[in-house]
Amino acid sequence: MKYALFWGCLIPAREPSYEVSVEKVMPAFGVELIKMEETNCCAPFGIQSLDYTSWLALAARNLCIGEEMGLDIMTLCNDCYESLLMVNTILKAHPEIRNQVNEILAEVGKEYKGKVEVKHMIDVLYDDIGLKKVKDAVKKPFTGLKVATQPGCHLTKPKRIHFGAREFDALDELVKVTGAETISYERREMCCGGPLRGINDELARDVARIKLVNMKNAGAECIVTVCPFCFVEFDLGQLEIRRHFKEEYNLPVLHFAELLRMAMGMKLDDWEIKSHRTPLEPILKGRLKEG
Amino acid sequence: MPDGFAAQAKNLIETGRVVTPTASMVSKRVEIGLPKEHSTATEDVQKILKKTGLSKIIASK
Repeated sequence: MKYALFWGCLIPAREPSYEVSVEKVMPAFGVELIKMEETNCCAPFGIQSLDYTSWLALAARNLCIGEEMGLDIMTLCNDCYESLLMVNTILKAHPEIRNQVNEILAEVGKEYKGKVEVKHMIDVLYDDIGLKKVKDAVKKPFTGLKVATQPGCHLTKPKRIHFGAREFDALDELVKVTGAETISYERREMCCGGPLRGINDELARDVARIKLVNMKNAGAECIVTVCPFCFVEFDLGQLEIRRHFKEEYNLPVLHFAELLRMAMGMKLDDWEIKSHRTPLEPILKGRLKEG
Repeated sequence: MPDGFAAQAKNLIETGRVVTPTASMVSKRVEIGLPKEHSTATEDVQKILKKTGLSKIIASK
């Protein structure tokens, strides 16, 4: 299995532990990731709302790179996934829009042909590798760990394009094969609040708090996500909530790739553990050494 | 236009990215053996956004 890997902006800029974990985990399943060079921002929802045509053209330019490589694209970020998947779907279905976008892309020597597919890492693990192979790779299961999963909005919406509920279940099933338990909590499908940052920070914080309260009340011991924006909102956000509301939730936040990496018997380095603003130590017992 | 979106667009026009690594993150990346940053086609982004007109809208903000 070989994919064109689209890193996006946020992960390399803020979350290198996610980057390292993907590079360690995916090759173990025979997945070859070829980095896409000279990419641009995926043009997330903020850009989409400012100018629809710019959003289409910027995302299409990235799709062209995957086409030139002759490989389907794998993303790690939910916003990148949504942008690239939606634009790919729109351009394949509407030749008139494709022509308009290709006129713009001609300025930079590109042409979108509609010969590429876009997958999230979750799709690759769940569909292409399969739960059995993932389970077989688990050497140090997180037996009994109660996990609140946060797939993130843009992995599952809009449902006319995404698999919707299936992708909520896909993350839960992948977490379960690491030996952990997934808990059911109120408003699981609700946004983390992150997209409201820079627009209404107070509301963003309130939304994150509602989710943290519900997770904690349901007995969660940690949060697992596949979205770098949800990660920031819950990891760094818990510090802000502690300052503002004088409340402590102490819920470590992990990217699924980090959870799987540790379940496969690989440790996180010290710098990675320290890069989490909400301490990971409560769930790291016996996992500070390899093997 | 929300300030947050305008800031994203401004960064996009200047760097080709909405989020870029801080100087300390670039140092950390090098220290842990990752590339400083992943290559970005900033000029292409500028050409595209000039063509669509978004650059002009953001410049007026």
